[in-house]
Amino acid sequence: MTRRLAATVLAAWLGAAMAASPQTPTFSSRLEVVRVDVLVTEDGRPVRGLKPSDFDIRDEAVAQTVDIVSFEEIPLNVVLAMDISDSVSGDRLDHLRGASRAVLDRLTKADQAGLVSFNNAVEVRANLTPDTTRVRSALDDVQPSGETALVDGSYAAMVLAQSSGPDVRRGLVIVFTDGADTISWLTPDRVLDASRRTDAVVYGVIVRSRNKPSFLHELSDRTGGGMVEIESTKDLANRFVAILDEFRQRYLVSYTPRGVPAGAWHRLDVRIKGRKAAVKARAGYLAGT
Amino acid sequence: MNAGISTNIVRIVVVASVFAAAHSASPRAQSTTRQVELKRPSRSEHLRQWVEAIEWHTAGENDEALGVFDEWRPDDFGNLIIDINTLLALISNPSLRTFSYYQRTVAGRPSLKQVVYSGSDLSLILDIARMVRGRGVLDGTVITPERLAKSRNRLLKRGAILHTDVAIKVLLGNRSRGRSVPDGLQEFTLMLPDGRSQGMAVDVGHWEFARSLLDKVVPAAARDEFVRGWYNATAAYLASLEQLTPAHFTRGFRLFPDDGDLLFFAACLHESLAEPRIQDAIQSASIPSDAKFDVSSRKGELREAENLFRKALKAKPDHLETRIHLGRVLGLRGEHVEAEMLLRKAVADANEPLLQYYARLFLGAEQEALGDRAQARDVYDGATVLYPEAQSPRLALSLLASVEGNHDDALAMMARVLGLRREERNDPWWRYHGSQGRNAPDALAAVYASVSGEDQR
Repeated sequence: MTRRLAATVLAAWLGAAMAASPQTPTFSSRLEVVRVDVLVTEDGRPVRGLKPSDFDIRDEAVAQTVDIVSFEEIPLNVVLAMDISDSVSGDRLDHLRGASRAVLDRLTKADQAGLVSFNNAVEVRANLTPDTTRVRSALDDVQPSGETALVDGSYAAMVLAQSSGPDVRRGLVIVFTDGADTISWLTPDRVLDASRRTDAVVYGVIVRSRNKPSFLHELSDRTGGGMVEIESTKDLANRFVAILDEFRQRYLVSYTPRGVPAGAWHRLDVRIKGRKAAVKARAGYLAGT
Repeated sequence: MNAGISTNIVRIVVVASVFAAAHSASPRAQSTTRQVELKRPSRSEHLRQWVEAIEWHTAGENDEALGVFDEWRPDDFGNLIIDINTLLALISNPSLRTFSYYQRTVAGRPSLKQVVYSGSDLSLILDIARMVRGRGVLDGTVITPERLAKSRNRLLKRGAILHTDVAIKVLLGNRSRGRSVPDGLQEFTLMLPDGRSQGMAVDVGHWEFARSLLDKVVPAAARDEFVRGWYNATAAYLASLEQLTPAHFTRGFRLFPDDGDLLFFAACLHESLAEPRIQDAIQSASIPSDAKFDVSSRKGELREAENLFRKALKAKPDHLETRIHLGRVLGLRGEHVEAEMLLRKAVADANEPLLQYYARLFLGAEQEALGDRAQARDVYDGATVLYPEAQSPRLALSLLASVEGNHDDALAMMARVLGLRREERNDPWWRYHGSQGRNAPDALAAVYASVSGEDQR
């Protein structure tokens, strides 16, 4: 997850985060902070207990000093983006509802959830709310029909997940679809471009078919998320929960860029010092506007 | 018959090559012709049923006459094609007694074959021919060549309407197509709901029957305004249902190669075939070896669409819709400067809200591609005024705000529409592929009125 914020905006969060941090960063009002959402695994298992000094972050190949590393403290914005086109009916819809409820069950009181559905129409059925009963109720209203605006729906979910107001949150989007886009107005290229400016992390869950879901693959890759291809929706609840669990195991790493040019795409390289750990993070971020 | 626009399932249709190429009988139909002669001497009865259905049928109505083929066996259709030729020959010259037709050999060359009728078959076909010749003529009156041509054309045009209405009934009713269809007379339809292949349907090619009948209009189908009107009205109708039928245009262009409307509809067809949802679905479909869907790559289809839109514009320079579609296709081909110019003019000229909306949507995309976000925002804003419940321009505006780093605006822009329920939405973008056929009911009604009106003259 990457985001550039004025230091004043970060103030509220810093108060909480600094307590967990061994360092005490200082910010001038002009400085901006980059935050990167990082998953570190060894042998497929998340690595816990890492400190800022364990991270080797290169911004445009320039080594950066990590200020803060947080783990599990930041509340989540979880947006479920559901394909409700014609083909998602019967058992498949039941499984999708069940999987969504399983995710809601595991949210904490500090987390927020939202629901976006898409067929031809993209609908924000539940805005971000800590009240999961509203999201559950919205789930019950879903009726499948029409075509698949996967690109439009993914974009809307991404924007929604990013909305955090004054408090800092980590955005997770879980997009479920059983097919390729057929009706979106937004093009994959434009949405992928926009994804460079969001801090939401997108995970795609797709029922395997002959159509290659290249857009969702790329979106999840660019946002540092993941892609799950399934044969059947029977086990969908476990898949959704696994995504949430994995997301909670991620570090939020912050640094103030130094010695790098501003106003352009910044390529990021994140590694763990002295370990052969697998690292998943977004490929870069767009600085400036 | 209600030929209104229903919820679309995109279909790609291909007509069996033998039927399309020969307008005659297939090898199997020919071999069974002899069987029929020995075992089923009722082929002339089928011809009589066909002529009666033509007479009974009210153009555009879903009446009993449309059920005439329900009990027919596959070979009956093959025989009908041969027997219609015989009937037409006898209408012109009742003294003829030898009949032939062309059949494609395995190598694809036409080969002349004789048709041998039983006495009773020939007698009945002669009676039908006399009836058609004498229709509207007092006994004893000399039948002029003009009168004969009129009678022949009436049969052919009304026959084409009968087959058109049967085809529409099949299309609207989504009727089971499991029955056996003779080789060479099939119409293969690839069903593509929601961008996925839902398998292949096979039915008798009633559209092709209609086209084949109209080919025989005298003195020349290419100079007949009814035939031209039929091609354009049915092209609009097929477009309105996203029934993608390349053969319709291959045949139509043989007669009307420079018709602006036909060029426009053909160009729209290739624009649709270029869509990723169609391209992906075709690539993932299981297509039997005897059905070949003549669909090129996305690049190839866009190139063909551009080529045809340009020809259409040459034929009808003032046709605003052609300019809008051409602008979109040029944009998809990366020709943003020309696309922007065309679409900007279209926005200035469009009076119909729907066309104004499309022009603005596509113009906005081109201006974005050219880096002019402020202009793009203006034209998208205009689109939201035209259709306040449409999500596409709102999402475009939201994305513009998002790439400029203004997240609050990005959220606010889309929130204005995305909170509405689907029933409250109205986004013409969802109907773009097919919108060119929105006047199809009127165009078909004009064709129906024309064929009915001829009887009253």
